[in-house]
Amino acid sequence: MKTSMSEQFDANAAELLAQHNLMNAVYGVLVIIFVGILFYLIRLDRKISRLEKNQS
Amino acid sequence: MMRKHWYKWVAAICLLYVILGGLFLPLKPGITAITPVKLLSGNDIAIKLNVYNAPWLKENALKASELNTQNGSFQIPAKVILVSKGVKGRWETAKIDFSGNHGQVIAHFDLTMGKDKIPNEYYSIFIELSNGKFLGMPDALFLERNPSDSMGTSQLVLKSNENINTNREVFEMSFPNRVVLNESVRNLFYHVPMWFAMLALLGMAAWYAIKYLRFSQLSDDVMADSLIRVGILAGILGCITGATWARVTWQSWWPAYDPKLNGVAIGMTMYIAYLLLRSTLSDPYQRARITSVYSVFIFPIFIALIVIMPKLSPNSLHPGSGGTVGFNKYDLDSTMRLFFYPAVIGWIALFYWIANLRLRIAHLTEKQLNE
Repeated sequence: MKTSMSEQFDANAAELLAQHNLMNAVYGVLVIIFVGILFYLIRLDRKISRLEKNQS
Repeated sequence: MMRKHWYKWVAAICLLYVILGGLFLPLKPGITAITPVKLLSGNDIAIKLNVYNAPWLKENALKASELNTQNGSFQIPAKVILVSKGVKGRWETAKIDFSGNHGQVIAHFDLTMGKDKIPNEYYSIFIELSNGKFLGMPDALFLERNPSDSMGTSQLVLKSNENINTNREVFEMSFPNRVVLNESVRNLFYHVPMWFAMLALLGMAAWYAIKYLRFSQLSDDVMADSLIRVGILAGILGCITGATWARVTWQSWWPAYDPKLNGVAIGMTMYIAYLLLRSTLSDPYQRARITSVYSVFIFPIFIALIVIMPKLSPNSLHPGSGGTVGFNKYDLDSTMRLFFYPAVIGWIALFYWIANLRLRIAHLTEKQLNE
């Protein structure tokens, strides 16, 4: 009984691992970096706009 | 033109190369999962193997099926081997079925231990292909003696295991397929360089802070400030990308017992305190002097917290610390290096570029205030 349960667990784990595509983690990381840099660039952009406004 | 902007070209070319190569180069084939992971000795034992990125396995199977089809299952020309450090010899089988879905392979073993004294051990599993190459999974299963299995002789093949070498390339250019990491090994080019960029920028900031303390030029202080702010941006991105990666590999957003994470949390707080300190001081010279001293003071502490302490700690999940292996062992193979070093250079150059933009804006703002 004990072995059959652990075997069942192993089968589920293997199935999960097979479905689990870790490529999504790579895309996720790239998107986070891209969004983070974009966010900072927008902040810099706002600062430049303020400078331009003050100049005119 | 080219000379003044050289680091921007470095950033653009390196990052283009790293992102394209890092995403599109294939992973080496590997065994990603096996079932069951615990076995009792005996004959006719089936072990299921999930094989990743191995189209040739399917080709071989299809070829074999033309020659020999039996109820939809057929043999393929390869061998599955079980090897353990504590056992002389190996278990071998050529009885392999290819079930077709998800690249799953079933190996049928005769694991009779018989009267021989074979210890209960963890075994690594390998698929030996007809061209002499191996796919492997270290310490994949535990084999235990079945109490009823004490008659006859064992089916252990007495052969040296020295020729098993999984490091031999199957594809010319490919990334290593590691258990747990799998495809996410590519994050080495995107998550890790965030920290290299942060360290590089904070190091440069400390340098400019020292320069300010020696020569009292406000432009050095503004440079140090810009570098620290963009360094913090890189650090925040490093934290979030690291959490994402940890979620899928270490099964936790923030494994709290990892000394590197705790060190980073403290270190980042010190730098956020720098921002607060700076915002409370209005006189530019006073502000520059106090924050310069502060940033020169915290940089070595930051290094100690995120580089030295995790190395001393016995239980970090990160490579290069405690029980885990460092970059220069087998963690970083030659193909990874080809992309990792340009990635570090490229990301540092990109963040330096952003810091430079911020510096120029700060200069313009100051100029306007003075007018």
